[in-house]
Amino acid sequence: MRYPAFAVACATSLMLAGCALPVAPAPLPSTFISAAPTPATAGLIDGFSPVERIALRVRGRTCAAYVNGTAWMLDATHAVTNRHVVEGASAITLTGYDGTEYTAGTVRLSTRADLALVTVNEAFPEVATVAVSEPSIGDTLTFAGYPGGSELTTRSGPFVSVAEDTVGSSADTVYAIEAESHPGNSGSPVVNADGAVTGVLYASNNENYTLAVSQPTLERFIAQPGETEPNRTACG
Amino acid sequence: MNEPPVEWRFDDYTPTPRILPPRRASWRRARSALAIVAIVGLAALSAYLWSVNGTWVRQNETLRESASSLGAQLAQASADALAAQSELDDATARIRSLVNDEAQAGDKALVLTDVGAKLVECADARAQHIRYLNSASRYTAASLTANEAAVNEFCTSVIAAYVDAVAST
Repeated sequence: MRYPAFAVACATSLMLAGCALPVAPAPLPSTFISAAPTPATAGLIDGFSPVERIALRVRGRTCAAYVNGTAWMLDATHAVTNRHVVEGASAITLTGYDGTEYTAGTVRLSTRADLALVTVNEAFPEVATVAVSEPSIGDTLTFAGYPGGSELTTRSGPFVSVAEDTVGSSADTVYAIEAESHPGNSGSPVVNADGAVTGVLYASNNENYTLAVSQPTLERFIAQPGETEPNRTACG
Repeated sequence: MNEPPVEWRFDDYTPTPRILPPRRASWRRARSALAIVAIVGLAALSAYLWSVNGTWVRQNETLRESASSLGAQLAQASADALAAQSELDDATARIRSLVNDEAQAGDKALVLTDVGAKLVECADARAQHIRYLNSASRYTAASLTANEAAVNEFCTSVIAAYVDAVAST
């Protein structure tokens, strides 16, 4: 070897460097957190969802029968429900999700759609947000109400089509939702993914399809109180 | 014409001794110095790397312990949140049930109130019929019979409604 001193130097240096090379640390665990599912609390304040908090149970008496349905708070003192729920009814009582009871005052019935506006005797703490646009086909819509006049229940399903109103007499089209509902659900608020009311449930086939008054019809009902008539409760 | 032969002379040839030039000697010394510097430099670098490695290892261990501790705390908090969520679900279900019970009771109270009012009407109608009977001479027998039948029919339907209402409570 022509340069033994240089070679020895290099070998020594490499040996020393090799001894001091940092050793890679052990692989990190995939997580430092023990496996534990995260509680699903999104949208829940006290165990009730926003749509449940605006839904009220309706009880009333007509000349022929006792009626149950659902309403929802448009503002602090006005609730929206179906015309067929409160038409001809007296002794109307509305019950909030927490059991608080409110007495209905005046009732105005829509002359165009299956909608009614009920004035309650005192301010309700929860108020709905009404959607400014229609849902798209395929969107998941949710409604909360009191099927059969029993417990507050929430259901969801896809918005499947815009249909003619074959149940009522409305000239406007309605929404068909693939979800189960029952008598007592009538008047339930139908909300979109943002929680804004985009329709009002008014009919179903008691199995897997539900019909709702559409957002434009609801918007028109709210904006044009002139298209209403008083509720006649006198029994002949 | 022929040229004369070349005469080679060797006796005056004296080989020159091979002496390294001064430049090459200094290069060797420089190379040795460079090797020493390299050894010292690499040794210093190794010492530095060893020290840095130790620092990283210690810091890594500290971070791991901290992360593990935080992970355990988070897991405990998550478990606590789940337990609280479960309790909240139970409480919510209980509230729903109680609200429903109260609403059903309200429905029945409305029915019973109405039936009670009709029972009062029935009693009033019977009392009125008794007054008619006490003044029977003022009425025809047929009208009294018709009134009795109407009162009985009304009271029978009210009593049936009362029985139904009580049975459903």
